[in-house]
Amino acid sequence: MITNKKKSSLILLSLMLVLSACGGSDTATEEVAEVVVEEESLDSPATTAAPAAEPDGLKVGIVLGALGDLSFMDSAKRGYDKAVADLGIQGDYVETEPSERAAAIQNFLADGKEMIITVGFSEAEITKEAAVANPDVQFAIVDMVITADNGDLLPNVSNLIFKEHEGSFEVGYIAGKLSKTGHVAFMGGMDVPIIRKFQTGWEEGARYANPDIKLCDGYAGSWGDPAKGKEIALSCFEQGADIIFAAGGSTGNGAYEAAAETGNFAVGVDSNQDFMQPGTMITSMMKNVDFAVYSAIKNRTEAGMVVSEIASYGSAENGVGPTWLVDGSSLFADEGPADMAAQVAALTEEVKEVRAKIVSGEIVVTDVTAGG
Amino acid sequence: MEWIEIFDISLLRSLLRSTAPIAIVGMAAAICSAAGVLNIGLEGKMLNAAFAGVAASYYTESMWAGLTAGVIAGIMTAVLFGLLSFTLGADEVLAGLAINIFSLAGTTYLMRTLWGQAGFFSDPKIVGVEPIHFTFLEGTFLEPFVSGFTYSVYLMFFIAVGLHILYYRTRLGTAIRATGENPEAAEDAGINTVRIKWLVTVFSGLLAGISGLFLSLENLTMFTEGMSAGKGYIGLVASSFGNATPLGTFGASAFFGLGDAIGIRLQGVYELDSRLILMIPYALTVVVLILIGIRQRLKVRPVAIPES
Repeated sequence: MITNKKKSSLILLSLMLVLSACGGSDTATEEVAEVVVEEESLDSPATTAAPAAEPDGLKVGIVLGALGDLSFMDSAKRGYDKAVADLGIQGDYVETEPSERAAAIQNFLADGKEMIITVGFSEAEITKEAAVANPDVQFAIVDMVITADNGDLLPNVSNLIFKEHEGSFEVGYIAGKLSKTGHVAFMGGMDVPIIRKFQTGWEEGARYANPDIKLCDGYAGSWGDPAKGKEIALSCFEQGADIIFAAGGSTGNGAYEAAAETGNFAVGVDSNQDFMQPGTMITSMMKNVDFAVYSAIKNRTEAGMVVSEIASYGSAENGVGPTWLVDGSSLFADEGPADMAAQVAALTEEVKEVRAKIVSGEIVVTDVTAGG
Repeated sequence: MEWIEIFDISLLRSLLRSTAPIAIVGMAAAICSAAGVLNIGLEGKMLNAAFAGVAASYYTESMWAGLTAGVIAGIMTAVLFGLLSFTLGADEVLAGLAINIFSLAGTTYLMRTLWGQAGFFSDPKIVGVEPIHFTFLEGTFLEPFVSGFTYSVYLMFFIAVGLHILYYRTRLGTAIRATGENPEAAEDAGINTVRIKWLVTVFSGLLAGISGLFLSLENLTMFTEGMSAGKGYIGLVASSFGNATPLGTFGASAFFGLGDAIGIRLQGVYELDSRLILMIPYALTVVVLILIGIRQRLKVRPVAIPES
């Protein structure tokens, strides 16, 4: 006989599973907030410590996600820090959980900020709402283009986007040339259009380098599940791949670890992650979020009024691409296996030619997010 | 990739890696529910152990310190659960839930304050557990099947068999099952049921600790926020599906492990939507819960005849 206690515990158990199915799939980077960790109030020491603030400098606030990701968010913060140091603005930053971001924008507005920056495609809705309601305040958003309901750009929003497909093509080309098995792999975090953009560019670049290249891919369904990232990488390596490109927040760390353990190779993402597994990381597909954020603040400061722009950073702007080109560094040349490291210098020159062809339009990389 | 190509040795290896954490924590759940303790708090125990293991390994650069600290953290969390439930008389479900929520928030907070990292913490100073290679099997057909796993993968078989013997061949096992099936009768027979409940709770902390360490020091060498990712709950379902018996729980865990392992490979077949595939382990769990419900409904109601 099924007792009441047993029945209620079964119900509870199913409920917990549903919860953990959602909770497990996204931790730090996006979506559901599970734990409110710390919100720095606007007048906490950390935020007022901004140096070199002139009393009449532009009042800028940036709404960040969790810092310490060694990737996307940290890069946005670097751009903001540089603006505070160089441009004489009065800066405030706030580190938030996803559910707190709308309130963080309102706090900044109440505080009289003249420019508010949000980071990530999932902030589009709240940024648009605030921008429409406050036409005198400059907004900027990273990784998204916000349009009014009639499809026009908003007069007070800087849209900072990246041509990830171009940079991914460049690292894909490198992998296609360096792969000994003629088989490269891609690991994605969530299966969303922006990550598909990385994947398509990567695969086209690899195929451009080696028309017979074989491909393997897998999505973890999470930005924070390295165990799954590792299983995906191992599964691809067992099928014969020897280089994996991981675009998926900390999920990718599992893929890097799998590569290091099995003697295969990996390509990092967003920031320079070459140091994470030296000798295993061939390069990283960098996204110069810091430069984009810095430039947006600079443009607004110089204009002296709200501006409307789409700033698109691609190969032409050196806004995306392998570390070898973007910051001219290659840890792999020192740490990688001798036979592969020896190819770095020549391959760098080849990638420069590839880049020139992308810029001139001779190579057209598919942008899966284009055209709606 | 063709459909049939999914089934190869690498799937078996992936299956064993995916099964280990679920099976070990599942057997922790099984021994608790055999003694009538509904231990929801396993998720928190795993997480604390995973964190303590990484922290100790990072600061001492010793694998053994990491493993010891992880097991101790698992047991300490279990003791906290015991204090709340048995000593202070809190509802077991609520105590377990409180521990899970506290552990998730606590480890996240500590990670950020100690190391200033969000999402994950990885460092070369964290010494992980190396896989075991059986040199005498090198070159034989057995090698790809049994060599090159970390210790927990082997340990889970011993735990399953060991618990099976404990359950059915020892006085302690009888006492545990008696405590779960009919505590009053057990008390009348001279069994100290509170002591039995404490014993299984502490033992479940040890097992959950091993399972948590598998995640952070064996399978990976890093700590991630909420890295137990529902495995404690899936272990509970596995123990329920396996009727709280060690071998049944083990079989049920392998079933969930298979769902996990196959899911990753299925993505490559026919370009199936990854989001659909990633639901498999969780969807399987819900299906299994329904099956358990049906089975319990179909069971013949016990007739109240005292046993001789």
